[in-house]
Amino acid sequence: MISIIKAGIQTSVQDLGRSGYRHMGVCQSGALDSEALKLANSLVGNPINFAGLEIAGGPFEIACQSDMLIALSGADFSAMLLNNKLLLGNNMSLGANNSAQAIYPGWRCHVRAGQRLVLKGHAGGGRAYIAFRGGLDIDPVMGSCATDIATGFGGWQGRSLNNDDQLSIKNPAQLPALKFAQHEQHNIDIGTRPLLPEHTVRALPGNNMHYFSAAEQNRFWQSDWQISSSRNRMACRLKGCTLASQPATKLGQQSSASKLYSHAVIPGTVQVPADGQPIVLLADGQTTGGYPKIAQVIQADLWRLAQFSHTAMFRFVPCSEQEAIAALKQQQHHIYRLQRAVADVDKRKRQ
Amino acid sequence: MQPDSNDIALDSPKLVDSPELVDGPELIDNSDLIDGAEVFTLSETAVVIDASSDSANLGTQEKIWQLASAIRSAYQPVSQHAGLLDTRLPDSGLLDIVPGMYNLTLIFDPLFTPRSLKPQTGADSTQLSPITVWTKRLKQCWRDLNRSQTEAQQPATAKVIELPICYGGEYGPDLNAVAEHSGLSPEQVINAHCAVDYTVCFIGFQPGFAYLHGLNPLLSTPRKATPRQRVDAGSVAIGGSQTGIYPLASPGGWQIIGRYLPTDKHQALFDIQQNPASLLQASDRLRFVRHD
Repeated sequence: MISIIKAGIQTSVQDLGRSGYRHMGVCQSGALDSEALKLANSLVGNPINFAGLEIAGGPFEIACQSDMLIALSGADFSAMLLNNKLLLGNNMSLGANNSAQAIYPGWRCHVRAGQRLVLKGHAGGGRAYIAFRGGLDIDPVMGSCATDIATGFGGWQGRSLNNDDQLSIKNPAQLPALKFAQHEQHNIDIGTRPLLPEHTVRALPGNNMHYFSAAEQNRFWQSDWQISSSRNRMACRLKGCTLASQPATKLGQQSSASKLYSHAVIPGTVQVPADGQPIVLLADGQTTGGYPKIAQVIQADLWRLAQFSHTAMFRFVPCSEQEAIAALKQQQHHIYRLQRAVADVDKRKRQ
Repeated sequence: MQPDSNDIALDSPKLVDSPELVDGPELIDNSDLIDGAEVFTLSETAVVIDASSDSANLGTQEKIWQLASAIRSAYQPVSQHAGLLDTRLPDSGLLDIVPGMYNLTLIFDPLFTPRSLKPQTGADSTQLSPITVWTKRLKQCWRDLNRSQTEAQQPATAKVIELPICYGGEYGPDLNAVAEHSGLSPEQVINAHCAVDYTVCFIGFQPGFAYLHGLNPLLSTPRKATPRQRVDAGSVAIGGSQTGIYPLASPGGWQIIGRYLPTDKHQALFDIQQNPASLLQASDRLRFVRHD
């Protein structure tokens, strides 16, 4: 059980999202930086899609009411583990009471009952994730524990967490055993280097490219972009230049009766509304859209948009479908390697 | 950023007069024209079939519904109940079948190669990527559908759903504006809005939001110059040549003429306790009934 002392900014229960209900207008939801959630889950031996917490800003603080194994990932929110009161038994090596121990993204650690976890937050934005061994005990709705905040269902009561909420953690007894190093019986555990956002985002050229003149297309690929402050789980609006979309008749093509009709859009779709400021749809993005689409961010790079700070400048780099799939496979292998590294293979053999 | 009702415009004046998608030089490599429809890749996880260049009318939309159900029965026959952990076929990798306006999108797991299609030794594995597999299946289903269309088609018996609407007053603050614009009395606007059976073309934008076909052109009214910060759930509104009903409270620029108030007898437009959660489904018929 964990008690929320300070709920932070838009802290929500997320897994890898839901599928199968887009034809009813139900969006995907799930962690914006899904790679970070997979990594944190893997570190504690959970399947990658277990429910954890996504935190968009600090200060965030929880009190842990039982012993647990947790992992942090995503943005560095300067996390500290505080010894609330006295510590029991043979763990005095942790140091004096009320001492604070730093925890970094990409690391896991044992938490004892009574300890508090504090995440200060990060001025530049980004999102931090916490996975708990066993996963948060949340009833799935439409096949997922992810919170759809705009619609108000899923996750913890269909909303962001508030102070004083109490969340349970599932019994991890069913999970495969983990391998622990000698020194980590009581203290900091193993970690892995988190992915750092490079200042490029790979994207497939959109299927309405003929709405944009060659010059406008070049401006899209060659401009430096920033995430504007109007940013949420649905979408992020980009700051940079203004792109003019135009009826393609002006490009010397034959006019026809066909219009741009609404069709499915997915996380990563880059739409250009009439004001010319591109919008990238994210996990909570609407299911269909009718604006011209200039590009489609590849799934493997979507997490970068969740982690760019407001000051970060980045560019879009065109890539092929093959490259997009290869990038996904590479991420999958990274997680597989991590899972193998933390699993206690010997113990599983003995069983 | 909030989604604005601008985005639910099928007829946004900014977007008309485009060429057929197939004219785009960027698209030739990854698109294909088949039986009057074009198939293209939306992303490494999605392929789209667009039948709008053939003929953009309700008949085309009906074919889209038939295509959706053909694909569902071929590749996703497990009925979807809220709470089921995994609705996919174990050997399919298909995640979503999403009808749009005269188009349909398949969303699939880009790393999932069906076991039955695992490459034999020496086979060209690029031929069997999920994008290729789903593009082929989509085309095949469309071709089969068109072939069976030549034979006598039974018109589907559509469900007619009646929704009681409180028009005007506090529930329809823009009723008078619509009346003024159309040159009708508020009473005539209500009657005209209730006189038609609307067709649900597809659901999108918001959970349970129906794109309706059938608004009397007399009632077309431009969106408000300044969108409202909040439009209440159940609001019935007109935006341009569209009419719609908001399942959830949201910002919006449409002219609000009435409201649907769910009761014990009439479920909310989107309710996760119900199965299906969306009251309206693509191909349903919808009738607004005046309720005072």
